[in-house]
Amino acid sequence: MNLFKGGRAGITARFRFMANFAGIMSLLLWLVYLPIKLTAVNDNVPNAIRAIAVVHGFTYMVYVAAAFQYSLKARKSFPQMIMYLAAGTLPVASFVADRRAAAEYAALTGGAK
Amino acid sequence: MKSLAKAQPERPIIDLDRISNSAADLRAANFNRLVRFPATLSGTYLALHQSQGDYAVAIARLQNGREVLVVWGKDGATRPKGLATFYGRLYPPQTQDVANGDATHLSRLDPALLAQVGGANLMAGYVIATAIASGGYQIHTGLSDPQQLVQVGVPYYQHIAYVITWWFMALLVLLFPFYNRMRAGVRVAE
Repeated sequence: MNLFKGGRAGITARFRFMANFAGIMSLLLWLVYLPIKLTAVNDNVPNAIRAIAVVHGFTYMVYVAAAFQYSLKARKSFPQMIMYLAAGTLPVASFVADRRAAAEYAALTGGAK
Repeated sequence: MKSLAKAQPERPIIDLDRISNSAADLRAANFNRLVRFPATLSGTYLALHQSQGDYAVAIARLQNGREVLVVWGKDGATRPKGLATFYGRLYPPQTQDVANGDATHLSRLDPALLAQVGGANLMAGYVIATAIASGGYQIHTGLSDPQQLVQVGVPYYQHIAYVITWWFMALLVLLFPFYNRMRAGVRVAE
């Protein structure tokens, strides 16, 4: 499994995995946690729902590390690197970043993913 | 939510007018004290969506002229008539609305909402009465008056998460000036 490999294959796989995972956690944050939090009476939010925000926070941190490493390896410019980091804050954007990384890796390796 | 405060040993019940006054905020040391006071009720209010249901609330006028907001039962309870002695616990005013309020419905248990009615005689805080003695009888209101513990808004592990995340982000920002140099030293393909 590429996730645990070194080199560009492993770095790209880790970034893509984290982009998708961060995207899912962002969806949960925006579509589940926030509506419940903002409509809760007297801030009465179940702990299981609160955990979404905590997991999302840690997930984003790991995503940032993965995106930083990917940006270095793919020799992205500084503004591009910032865009990759920021992509983790929006659910759709991280999915777009994942597809872009996949396309770049496929182009680099002649189509192999 | 985890509580950061434990229940304190109960102090002896005390007459209300000895520990609260209308001119100053209720001192923190007097929160959670068991109190008693003879009073007559005036006004009829409901406080909805409270922790034990919908509360029947009134302004209790003490014999010395002072007044205090008192929860004397749940919605639908029989209101005591005339002079009665109330037994309960004194709480600090609530600061967050838990329901919609109007002239007869209180959005929170806060004497400030009734300042126009009670005026300067209205004490800070409010009392949840657990028992009322009147005419030689004592009735229980069906309300409990647990000590109010100090709580934090989020679980402790969320604070830890914030600490770790912010330190990590700070470290990352410190690396930014060296990004181009780091990038130049990276081999593209392996």
